[in-house]
Amino acid sequence: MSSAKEQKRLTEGEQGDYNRGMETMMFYRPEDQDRLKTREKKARAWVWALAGLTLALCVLFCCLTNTANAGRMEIATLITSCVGGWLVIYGRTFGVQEARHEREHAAYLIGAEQTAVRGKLTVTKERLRIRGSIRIRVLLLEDGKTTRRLKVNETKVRALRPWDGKTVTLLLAGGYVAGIGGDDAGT
Amino acid sequence: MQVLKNIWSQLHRFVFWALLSTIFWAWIFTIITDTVPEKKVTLYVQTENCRSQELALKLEEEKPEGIKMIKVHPFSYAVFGDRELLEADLYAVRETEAEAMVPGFAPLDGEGLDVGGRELYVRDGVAYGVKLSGPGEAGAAAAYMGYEPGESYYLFFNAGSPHLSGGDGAALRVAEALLKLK
Repeated sequence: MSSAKEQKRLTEGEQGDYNRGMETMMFYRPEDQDRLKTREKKARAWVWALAGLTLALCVLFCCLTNTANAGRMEIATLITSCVGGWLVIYGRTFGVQEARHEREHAAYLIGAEQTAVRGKLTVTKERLRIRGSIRIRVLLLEDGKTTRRLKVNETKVRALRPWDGKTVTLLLAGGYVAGIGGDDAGT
Repeated sequence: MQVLKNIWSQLHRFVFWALLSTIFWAWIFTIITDTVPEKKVTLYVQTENCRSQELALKLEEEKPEGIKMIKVHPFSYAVFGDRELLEADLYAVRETEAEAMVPGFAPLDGEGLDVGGRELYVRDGVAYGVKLSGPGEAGAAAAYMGYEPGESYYLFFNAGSPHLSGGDGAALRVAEALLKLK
């Protein structure tokens, strides 16, 4: 655990002072919620469209079936149904659900109280997957006395890469990294 | 790489879907390509090289009134259950194996079948079948049936068929069409 000196709860005014010299980068801002909601809706629409198209093709093949082409039509229907279904499963799992998890995660980070912690950042290769939630990458933050294990949405790891191995200030919300910033970040 | 990892993580769902999909569509196609015995005439053929789909199509060109489809299957089609085989209307059977099956066949007397001068299969003075093919003969519907050389084949009628003279006579009409096919 970091000391009380280094871990400071931020008020709106304090946050500006704390990040003097470097602009704080929040991963999610309130205005992002609409964008994430739209992304989820679009993903959902694509998956429904794909499911509808698959079903429509299968029904069409059934309607076109006669004694002469029954075998071929059955195979065509099976392939269409299998491949279409696989794409729907993939889209739903990695499109719709991930978009929903990210939206919920963003809402949580935006609504939660944030604290600032400083230390040397290490981006590990350890990945975690909590059922029904976002994919997580584990970060280590060393302050000279202790090493903290922090979690960050894996899609945001790229933004942290430039500070890997450097001393930074991270903004935390309930154990998750919600942003990065600090007056001497990058030293 | 990430896509492959994603696919791997959902492999159980993909496999389950493939199984479910196969079972469901196989069931649907069984419904689509089949009908009740009263509306179909089924012929089972005791050859391995029968072009059953093409033969069914050819026979369907002149299908009797009230018949929706004509089905042709090799005997091996009934490997998972003999219900369909026992409910068939017509059988093209090797002469050497017909003897054991005779009790299930309908006598031809009084059926009004036009055999076109073909040889009959007679047991105990009763005619049960019509010769389809013999050694050295081209045989009826030879282009479709895949007769084995050196074997004689006869066409028989299921005694329980609803398509004999006591019913709509459709099996007799299909048999006549089959006998006329080259």
